[in-house]
Amino acid sequence: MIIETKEQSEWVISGALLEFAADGEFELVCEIIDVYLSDTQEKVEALGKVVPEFDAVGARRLAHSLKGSARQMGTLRFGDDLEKLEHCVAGVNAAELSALVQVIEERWIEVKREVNHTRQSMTRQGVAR
Amino acid sequence: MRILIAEDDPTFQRILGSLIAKWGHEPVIACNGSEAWEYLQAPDGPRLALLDWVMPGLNGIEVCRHLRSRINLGYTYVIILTAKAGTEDAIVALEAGCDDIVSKPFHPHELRARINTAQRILALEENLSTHAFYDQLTGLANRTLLEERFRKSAEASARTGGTLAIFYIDLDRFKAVNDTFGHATGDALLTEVTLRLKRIVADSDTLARVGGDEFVYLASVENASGAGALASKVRETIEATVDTIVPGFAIGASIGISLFPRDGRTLDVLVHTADSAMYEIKRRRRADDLQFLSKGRNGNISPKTTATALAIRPNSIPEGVATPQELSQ
Repeated sequence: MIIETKEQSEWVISGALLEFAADGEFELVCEIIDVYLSDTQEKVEALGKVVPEFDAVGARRLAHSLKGSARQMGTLRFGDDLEKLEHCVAGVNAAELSALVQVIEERWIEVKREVNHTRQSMTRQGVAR
Repeated sequence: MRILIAEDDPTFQRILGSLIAKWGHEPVIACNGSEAWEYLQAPDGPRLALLDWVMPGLNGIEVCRHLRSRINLGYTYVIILTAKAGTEDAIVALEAGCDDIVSKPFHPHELRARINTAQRILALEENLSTHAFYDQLTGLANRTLLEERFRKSAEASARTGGTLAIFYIDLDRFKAVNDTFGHATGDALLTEVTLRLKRIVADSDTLARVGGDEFVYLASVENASGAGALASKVRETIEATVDTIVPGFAIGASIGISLFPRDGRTLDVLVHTADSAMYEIKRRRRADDLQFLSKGRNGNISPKTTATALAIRPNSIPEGVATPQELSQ
């Protein structure tokens, strides 16, 4: 196992990244992580903006998009939370939508911390080679 | 091979692009369905497409439906990548014409195996397509492909007011070559004639083999006189070929010509007109190299300088050159 993971970890490195890491392509893994972090940050911020407008369609679209990349990267619990948001967003009121989005924003802070930690580990392994 | 990745998510774009390049393919990235459709419509567009289902503009399923509704000689293999994992979703995707479905999140090994399957099926399709649209001996277009190319050229000419020429080319005394030297020599002659003719056929034109020693050449020309000049070039090319394959054996080409839109608007009519002109000139065996013919009201062809069809007859056998009968003795 390249990345040490805890039972409660948000992130278990995904198959696609493992494939690159196994071949020593740590720079590529870091680059993909950077793309994921930047794109997800942007979309989570956009999600925060749909709450005051009570834009359920926009929230659903963003949740779907975030869910796909979250699961592909291995952030599975984050992906589950986003799936919940995607499926129930149509039937909630403004306060419920706000609460759901808040869960996502908090989870993202945890995910981001772990992903960044792993990125540093990847960088170290890349430098060590 | 070039593989289209239609995906709006930057993370998926980067992962898929990197994996595909790692596996020795060339990734082509489209950020939405409309861009993907543009790539797929191009004549040299990718033949394998990984389409995300949910995308801005056209979604992956709509791109697939567009692709399948188009009359296209080539086949594009479509894999839908989707987080929609239900049976109903799979039915929608397959009925839209996709070939395979990969669930997100995907495992790289599974995706690679499915891309390998796609390559295998595309190779089979290419083999079938070659048999369906190309002549096996010469590799030239067959009648089916000629019809498709004519349809496209006629549409373009109708828009621009251009002229198309249909040349019906028949090798004179080809049967004598077969009878005298055998079919292998006859085949070698046809192959060599083809190679030489290909050098004078423009990329936008089509040379097809429509019978044993019969070819149809579809070309854009300025006018009847331009068609006549091109026919002379074709005949000279054929005559030069024969000399290298069967030395001392003179063979020529009879060429009948019809023009679109003047002599007809369908390939059947134009080929029939050119074929009739070619047979007429063969029958008459006049010394003239170039003879203009016109189709009268009764459908018969008669000599006329203001021609609707033009035909060229082969050179007579030069003095001192053996006839097939002489060679076989």
